[in-house]
Amino acid sequence: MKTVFLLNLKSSMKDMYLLFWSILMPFAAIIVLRIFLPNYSGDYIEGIVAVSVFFYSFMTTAFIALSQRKRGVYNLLHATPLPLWKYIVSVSSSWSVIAIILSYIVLLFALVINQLKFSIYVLLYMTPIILIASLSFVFLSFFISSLVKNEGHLSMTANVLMIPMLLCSNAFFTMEKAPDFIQYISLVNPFEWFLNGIKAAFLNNFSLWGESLLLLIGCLALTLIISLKTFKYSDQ
Amino acid sequence: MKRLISARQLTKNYKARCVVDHINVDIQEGEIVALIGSNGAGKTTTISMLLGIIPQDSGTIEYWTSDYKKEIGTQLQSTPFFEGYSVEDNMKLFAAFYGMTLSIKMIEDKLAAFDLLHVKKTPAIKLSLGQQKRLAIIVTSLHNPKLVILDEPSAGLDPRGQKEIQHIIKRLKESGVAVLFSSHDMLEVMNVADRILIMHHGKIIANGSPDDLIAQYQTQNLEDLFFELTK
Repeated sequence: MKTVFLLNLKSSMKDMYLLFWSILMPFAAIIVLRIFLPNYSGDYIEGIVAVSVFFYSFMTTAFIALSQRKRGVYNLLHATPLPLWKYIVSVSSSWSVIAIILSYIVLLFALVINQLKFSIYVLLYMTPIILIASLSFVFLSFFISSLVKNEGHLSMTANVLMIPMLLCSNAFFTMEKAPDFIQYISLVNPFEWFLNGIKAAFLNNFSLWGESLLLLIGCLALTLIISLKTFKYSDQ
Repeated sequence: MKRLISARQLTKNYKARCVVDHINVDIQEGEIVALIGSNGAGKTTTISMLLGIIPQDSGTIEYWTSDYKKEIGTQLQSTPFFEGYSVEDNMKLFAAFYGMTLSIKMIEDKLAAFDLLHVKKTPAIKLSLGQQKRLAIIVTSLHNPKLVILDEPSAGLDPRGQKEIQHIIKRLKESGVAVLFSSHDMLEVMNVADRILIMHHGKIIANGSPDDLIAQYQTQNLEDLFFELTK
């Protein structure tokens, strides 16, 4: 498992999609907000970090998983003695480590650009939230990639799930004035739990942090089971 | 000789179409068996069932060991490698799937033996087809298996590449490894196989050594035999 973890970490670090969508795009958003909304730009940091992690651990990994399946490598994996759960947990863990690193990079950039002060405890509390949430999103990405046949189909299916998760959250708009049904959706939205966990880390709100962590652990168990049950080795 | 695989009455249907129809396959220790047949004859499906990649609809497969996946090396028709991984990283990864850790020396020795040392750091998916086929065979034998199963190992290769693959298959046999490979190339089969299984419309219609079958059916060569049996 260690070798699979390390090799996947090494290869994923070199992924250009990671650099563009999960690092350069958040950097651009932070700069644009700083220029056009200087009084509020600091308020969006948690949202940008959360979206960046979500985008990487859900969208980017779903494309990688689909690409590997289409190449036939999962079929070959099936012929080896490595149990599927070990493979999924190993690669998902390495992607989660990358998600944690990129959250630090985006956070550091936002703090520097907005000239904000910051406590190391934020990182300490933020890290387990990102680890559990990104693992859940990666497991979800395996599930989504198993449902689809090609990249176009994946893009559509992932967006159908991703956009409501983003919009029914407090990432960029407050839910207070949203219609009741949107607020209800936000209560069962794993991305909202993730965002709340990150916000709680910034605010030192331990009850909200603990609640978010527990909900995300439940989500992790569920998505792991779904990803293992629905894993597709090949298109045949 | 010890029997490594014994498959009985193996059947596979895709929807209403029977692609493998009650076939029996035996593979003995140290022998080279060629599975030949036209496109769609059921060769890849048979291999996939023997490897445990797809389940059979009926029939049984007995292996000489309970943990057979640890003892079989596999090369699939598409020679897939992990995208974004170099040649050496793909080798390390596949070895890890078998619970092995490869030293740098082991990797370099294997690559040198197959004339691939100079592409050690190259992404595996960027290798030429011939190099990918050779790398795929290296990967099949990293864990010192008793049996190697190769699905069309020389398909798409030029004559030199095909010759190299034949040489590699013979080397595997010399090291005591049994080989089951599928092929369309009758010359290749004649050169390397101890025994052939001819598949047609999902059935095995001939099973024996190339020379015995040619004598039995009184044909000039294996190609004529194949045409005679599959017309």
